[in-house]
Amino acid sequence: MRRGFIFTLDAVFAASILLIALAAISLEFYTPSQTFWLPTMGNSLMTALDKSGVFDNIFQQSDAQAQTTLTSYLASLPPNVNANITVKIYHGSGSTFTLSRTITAIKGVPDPNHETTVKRIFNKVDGSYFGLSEMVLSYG
Amino acid sequence: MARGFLLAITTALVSVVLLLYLQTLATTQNNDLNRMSNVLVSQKVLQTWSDVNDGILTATNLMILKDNNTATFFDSLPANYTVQNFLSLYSLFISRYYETPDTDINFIGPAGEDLSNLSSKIMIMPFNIEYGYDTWWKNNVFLFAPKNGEENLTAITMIYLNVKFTDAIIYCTPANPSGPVSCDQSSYKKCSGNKQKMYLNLSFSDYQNRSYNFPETCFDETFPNTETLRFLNASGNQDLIVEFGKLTGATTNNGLALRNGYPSINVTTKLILNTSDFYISYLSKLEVSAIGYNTSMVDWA
Repeated sequence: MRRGFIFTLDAVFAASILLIALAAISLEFYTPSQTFWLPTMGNSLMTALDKSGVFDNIFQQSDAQAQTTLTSYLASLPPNVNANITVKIYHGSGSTFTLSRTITAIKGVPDPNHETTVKRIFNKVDGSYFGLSEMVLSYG
Repeated sequence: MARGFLLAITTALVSVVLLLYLQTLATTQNNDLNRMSNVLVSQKVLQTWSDVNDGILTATNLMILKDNNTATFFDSLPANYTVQNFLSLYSLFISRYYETPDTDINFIGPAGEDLSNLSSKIMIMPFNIEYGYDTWWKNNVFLFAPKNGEENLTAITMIYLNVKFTDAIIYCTPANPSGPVSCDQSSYKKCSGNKQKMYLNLSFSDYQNRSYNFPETCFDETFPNTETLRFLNASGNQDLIVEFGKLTGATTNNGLALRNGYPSINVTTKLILNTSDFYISYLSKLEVSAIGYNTSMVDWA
């Protein structure tokens, strides 16, 4: 009777260890889905910035105004996402490009070991200014 | 002895179950990763294509929509700057600052793979009707069927041409009561008999909401018809001449033309065809492909 009780206790203990091991393995395996959502999120935000005319307006705005707008868009990201966006404006002439402005907006500090980068280009209607925006994101 | 055997069997079974579970998990995970990576690569190719194409659309200022049996060209004339210089710079900018090692961006055109060779002609197929300009300065815009193929124009049952002046006013009566001449300074033949017919609805408007609609809509396609509309801008009085039917000058095709001498205008050309079985063919294409994946996008829109 007493030996049977110990056997049962032993079996329950073994089963618990097995379940904990399986759960740990499963959780480990499911982490890559995060890497899927980061570029999707980054692309969505870049598309919103592009289609709502934020990039085009930068040509008429001061650096401070542009930075404020970009920061407000970054704030729409989920709280557990850190990101920064850097917009560089180049003037093109002949076959050379001169960097004329750099605007940066930050929301937290992205983890350099797990970050994702998305890019966009845009241009001024006069045909001589080109913009490159680069967003770096990671989970915070 | 028997108990030891039972324990060994139980341990083996538990191990097998654990191994099978891990294998299923690994396979599922692998499939998920492949699916995710394919979706991400497709998204990137699509985004890159659309991003590069947006820049070209901004430069060329031409948008085309096809809906059922209708093709509409939204155009702005003339070009504000040298489009070819811009395209050359744009191409350089893309390769220096935008293109990543895992994507390949190419321009495919009849005159080579440089974006500055972008063709200024767009075809409506299978009718071989061309919409385009003589150069990217966009001083002259044409819509015509090539010589000996004029009958193809009959596929177009109606052309709606709307010209909007963006920085000039219509300066003729009745649109503008103070205008010195009539808006109808036309030379045309109405359609009659068995002559080839061209159906054209011609309307003009300006930024102060004056408008003028040409009274006729059916013309002899074999005759060099013209309509001259007086406008006023900072340079004074000028005339905008629209040719339709048999075109004059070097281009002796039948069709429609707006030649240089006009101010800044937005031109909407809406073509109603007798079939929805047609397509817009761009002679130049933009191709974006993901290196290492069988994913690419080739189109021009």
